[in-house]
Amino acid sequence: MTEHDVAMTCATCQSSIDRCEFCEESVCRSPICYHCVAEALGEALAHPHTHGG
Amino acid sequence: MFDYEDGKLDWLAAGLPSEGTNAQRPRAGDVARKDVPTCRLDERLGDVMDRTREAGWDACVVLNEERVVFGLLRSKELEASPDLRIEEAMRPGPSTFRPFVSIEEMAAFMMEHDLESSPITTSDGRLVGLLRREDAAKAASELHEREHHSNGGRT
Repeated sequence: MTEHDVAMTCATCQSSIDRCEFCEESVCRSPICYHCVAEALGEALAHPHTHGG
Repeated sequence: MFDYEDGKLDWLAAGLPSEGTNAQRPRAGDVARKDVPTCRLDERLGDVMDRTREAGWDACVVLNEERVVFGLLRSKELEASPDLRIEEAMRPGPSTFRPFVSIEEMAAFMMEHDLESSPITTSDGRLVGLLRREDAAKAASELHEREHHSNGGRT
């Protein structure tokens, strides 16, 4: 972590995240993690892994 | 007889038709623009920018041969040096959302996060279209108006 990185927590579950999973920004007024955004939008599907993993 | 072996969410995520009380409510896949410009990783940004602007867009989706979303060029990325290759200029691995997501939820999230556009994909990552914030907000507003009137003005 560099001095420019800002610690973020998910506004819903307070887990530590590197960026907001909705807007993909590292500075966001209501950051949200992947799990919480998927739940909020009614998505229970994992994002695809194009490498087949 | 054909048994669809994947789940209901996979059926909806593929953009296949649904029935029931919520089937008439617009969803992200219905509102997403299917005519969004697309490009490949090995193209030059200047060429893609010209093509995108000529089509009246300020965003372009980067796809592979199977139409899987690899990246996104929003207005900020399109303004980079025209000599860059797309893979150098694009925003890689953008967050994508499924076609069945409620347009009201998407509109609210896009406004709250000031996000101008979101790719809508099937569950295996293939592009359905690009959902623009203004289109999502308009569809959500029209839905709200329609439901308000059908309730005789009660909310």
